[in-house]
Amino acid sequence: MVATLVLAVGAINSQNNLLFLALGLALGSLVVSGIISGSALMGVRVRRSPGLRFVTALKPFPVSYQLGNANWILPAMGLQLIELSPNLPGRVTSPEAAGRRFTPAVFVERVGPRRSTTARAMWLAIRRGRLELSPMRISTSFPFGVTLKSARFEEPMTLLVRPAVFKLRGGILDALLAAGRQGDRTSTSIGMGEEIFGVREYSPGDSPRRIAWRPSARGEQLIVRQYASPTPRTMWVVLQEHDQASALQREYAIALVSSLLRGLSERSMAIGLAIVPSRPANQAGNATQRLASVIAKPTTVGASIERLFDALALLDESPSSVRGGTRLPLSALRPAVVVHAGSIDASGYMQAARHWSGDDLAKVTLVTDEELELLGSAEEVS
Amino acid sequence: MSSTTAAAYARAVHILLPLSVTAYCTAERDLALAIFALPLLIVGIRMTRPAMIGDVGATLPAWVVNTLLTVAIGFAIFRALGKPLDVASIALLVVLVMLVKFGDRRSPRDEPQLIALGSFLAVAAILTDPGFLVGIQVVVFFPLLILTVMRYQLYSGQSRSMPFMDAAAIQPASRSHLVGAVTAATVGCLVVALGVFVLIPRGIGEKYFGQWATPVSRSMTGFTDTVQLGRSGLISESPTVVMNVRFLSMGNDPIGNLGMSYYLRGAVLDRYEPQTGSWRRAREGWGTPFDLGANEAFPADGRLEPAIGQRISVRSAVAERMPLFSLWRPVQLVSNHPAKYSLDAAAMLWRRESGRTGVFEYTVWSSTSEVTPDDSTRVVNPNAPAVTERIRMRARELAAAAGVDVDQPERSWSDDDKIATMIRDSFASGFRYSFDQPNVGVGVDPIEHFLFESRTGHCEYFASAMVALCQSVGVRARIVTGYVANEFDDSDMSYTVREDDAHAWVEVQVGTGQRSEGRWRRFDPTPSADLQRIHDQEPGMVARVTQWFDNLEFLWNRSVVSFDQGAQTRLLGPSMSASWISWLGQRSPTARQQRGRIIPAVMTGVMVFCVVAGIGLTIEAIRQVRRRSSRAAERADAVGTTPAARESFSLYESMLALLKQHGHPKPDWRPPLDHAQGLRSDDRGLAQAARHVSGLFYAVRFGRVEPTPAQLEEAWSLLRAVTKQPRKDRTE
Repeated sequence: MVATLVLAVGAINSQNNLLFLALGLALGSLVVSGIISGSALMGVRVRRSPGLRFVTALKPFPVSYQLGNANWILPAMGLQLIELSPNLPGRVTSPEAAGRRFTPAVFVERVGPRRSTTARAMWLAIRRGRLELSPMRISTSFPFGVTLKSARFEEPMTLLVRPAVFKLRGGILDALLAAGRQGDRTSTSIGMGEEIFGVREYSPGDSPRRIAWRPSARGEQLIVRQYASPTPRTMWVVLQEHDQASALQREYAIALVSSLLRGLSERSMAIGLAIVPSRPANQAGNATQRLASVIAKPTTVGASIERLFDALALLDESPSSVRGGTRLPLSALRPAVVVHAGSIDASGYMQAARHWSGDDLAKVTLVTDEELELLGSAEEVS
Repeated sequence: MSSTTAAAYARAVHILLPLSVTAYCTAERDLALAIFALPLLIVGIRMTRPAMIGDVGATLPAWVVNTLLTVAIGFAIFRALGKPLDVASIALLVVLVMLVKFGDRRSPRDEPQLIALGSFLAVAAILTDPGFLVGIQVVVFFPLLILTVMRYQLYSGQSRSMPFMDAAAIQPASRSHLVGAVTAATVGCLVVALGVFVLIPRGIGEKYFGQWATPVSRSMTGFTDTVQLGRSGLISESPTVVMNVRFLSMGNDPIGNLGMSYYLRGAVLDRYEPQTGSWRRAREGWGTPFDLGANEAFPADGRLEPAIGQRISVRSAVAERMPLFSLWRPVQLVSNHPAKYSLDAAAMLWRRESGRTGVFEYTVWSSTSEVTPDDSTRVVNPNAPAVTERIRMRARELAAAAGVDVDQPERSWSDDDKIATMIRDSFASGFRYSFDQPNVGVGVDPIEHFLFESRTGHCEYFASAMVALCQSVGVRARIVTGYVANEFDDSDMSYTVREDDAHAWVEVQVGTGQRSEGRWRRFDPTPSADLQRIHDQEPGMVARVTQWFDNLEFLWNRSVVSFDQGAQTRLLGPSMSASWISWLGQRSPTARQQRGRIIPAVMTGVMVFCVVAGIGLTIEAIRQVRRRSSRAAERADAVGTTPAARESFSLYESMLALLKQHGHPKPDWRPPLDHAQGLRSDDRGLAQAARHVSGLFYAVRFGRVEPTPAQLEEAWSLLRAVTKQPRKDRTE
């Protein structure tokens, strides 16, 4: 506007026809800018599709936006899409610039008339929990940057962010495998284990070494032994809450629990998860008699294990469900690895268990300094 | 970032900016600046382009940039000292700043500055010289500017979103898409621009704010209304076109053909001063200036019948006292533009007293009936002119050879004609035409030197010698300067007159004629073979290309550069044009002389524009305020309604205001903690306060953890400390 005004004064003052032409072009650019950017946005529609029900903190994941242009003539150009959800800047960052915070945005250069296109952003969630996505704003200052036109789209969506998972250090995983107890459970499938699952009639091809001679002698046909599959070693992962723990220590502890669950499950251990609520200061007593809320008993079933991560993701949102679940005395959770949200206080109970604090995250896992910093940079944590 | 988008933008801007510098240097005729600036621009491009497209590039260190900027500003101020501030001074500074800025391209935000600098240079070029060469470059510049700005919109938008964009999924707009958009935008802009160009009133407010630029003088070169012998550099050999002439028959049909020449008179000189070797007019005969409206004729009497018309389009008219060229003997002037004219009745010359520069068109009708000698006699003037005895003796010899006794007190006009013819013919052999100036010694008369020593010279020497010889034996003769039109273009039946067509010849009085100025006959003593060799068209491709270029330049000058109130009236019709002018309170075409009415008109125009701009700016400001307040309301709602929450919100708002006050406003897109983090190196105290307040704000907003009164008090005291303490102390 100022430049146009200067051009107008200059043209009048100099009576320079070329400057009159330049003034006309400047005025024309104002008009064209308003028309193009405004009319282009009128036909734009957008849909967000993360494509995932859940994501894992500190692991990049794609978020796709499908932009359509209902306009029959004009293409929509230079579209910038910004997520307006207020909690995003503190909980999501970019994999490209980890540690720096941005309002998530994507840019689409062109959507043709009656066409649609997909823009993909890469996000990095830095905080577990429920990520509420709501309004988005599409704006454009194309073609000349003179006027900024924008439109707001409500696209509510919830994304579950599971706790961060880090690879366990080699020795630690072996030690935990060795500490796992076998035989606690009865196998439910036929396999190559040592225990006998049952017997059945002989069929050609069975090894003669499997023939149960005595039962065969009692009957008229050959009977062979069937062995049960080997039962997995079991391990409880216990999260010990502490009142005095900082939010960051607690997040580290949850990340450690999550990493343990993942690491052990990948080695086919049956894992259970229990949470021990923080003990009020006025409740003294034998610690082993305290009750732990069992999120899941030791299992090797994949879906059940995945639910453990969901439970950890929503730990802050549904404490009542945690308390309301099955409760077992701590003494019943054996073998176990206990992760303390605050400092380790193992006196009096579960002496056989292995104890770690959330602060031991770097000792137990292969977490990097950058990842630790990112975990600490979440708004709620800092 | 998509390197395609960045590279496309880089390509556009790296053509645009050198073009702007070239346009300005062309307009200013400043070859030195071009030689200095363009290579440095190329170095800057090579240095910073890789970083723009994602490779490893280099920028100058900040201290180098600051030093260079200081030097550039200092140099520009030094150059401008003692001169009024004009476009040239500012443009020089702009070029220097652009060169420095090229080494300081650290983010996409630096790019608009470069584009703005380039645009300023283009405007400066227009102000300096709206001629054809600059016009071509500006015509290329504007679509390129549109393309560059569009490319920048994509480039900057993408760079803003880049941290989150999945680079593999980016789909850059193709070149054809951009070409379509650029074409549509250019056409849209041009439509508005042409509307503005045609409709906006002309002739009001000129130089009201002073002269911003000194336009390069390109007017009426080649021709001179003085003749100075013995000095070099007065004869132009430039092929630049001066005017186009269409000769008309009485039926208004164009006449002329290849090989036919016309002598267009511009000035008459009749007194020689041997001390200076110059010719001047013995007595200026310009009468009282008179106004002539468009298509009015002067004079309109019918004592001499017009026989041949000359419709002349001067391409670059001078503003004041511009001679109007015509054939002898002019009898009627028809003005195509309203202006003030003067007539020299003795020499039968017209001139335009004042008017706009650029293309100027007029029509003259001439009579061809007064070129033959009278039969009557006359008394010979006994006072000899100031010529040397040697010249006089030579003239007497030639007169005797013509059979005329020059000692008789009375002589017939036909005898004068015979003497003149003999003198003219005497130059046909033994003399050589040359642009090279004869080396005349101190105290030697150049004419005598030419006649008896060098016998070599250009047309002015031949004409001077002939007039001197004629006058020494009492023949009334005078030098006429003007142009010889001999380059006929049969495509539009007109003659193209160039600077090197400027010529000097002789007029000898051969009778009294019907009017007081007498009957004069043209003699051209310059050897015709030499004249033809010099002035004839050069055949071949170059001549054709030159012709095309000249035609285009003429078209440009006539339709764009010289579009004025008259052209506006012709295009729109008198009623529409007049309504515009009267709307602005300006009714007279001679606007500059009616300053009392111009000022209100200009001020009205500016005020109208200011009001429109002001309304637009006010609407935009209201929108901004509403947007901010709605954003603030959203934040307040999100924070909660308890007193502690409200206080933490007002604390946050105070922090934002404080950041802005200290020159670190928080961008909307940037989270406050991140912003505070970025301030740490610059202002640690402010950063600490911002971080603390942001922490409280986010705790209550997202964590629903309300701050305690002590925390709030601590935050307030931090903000107060920042407000009171000088920045230096805080940083330390």
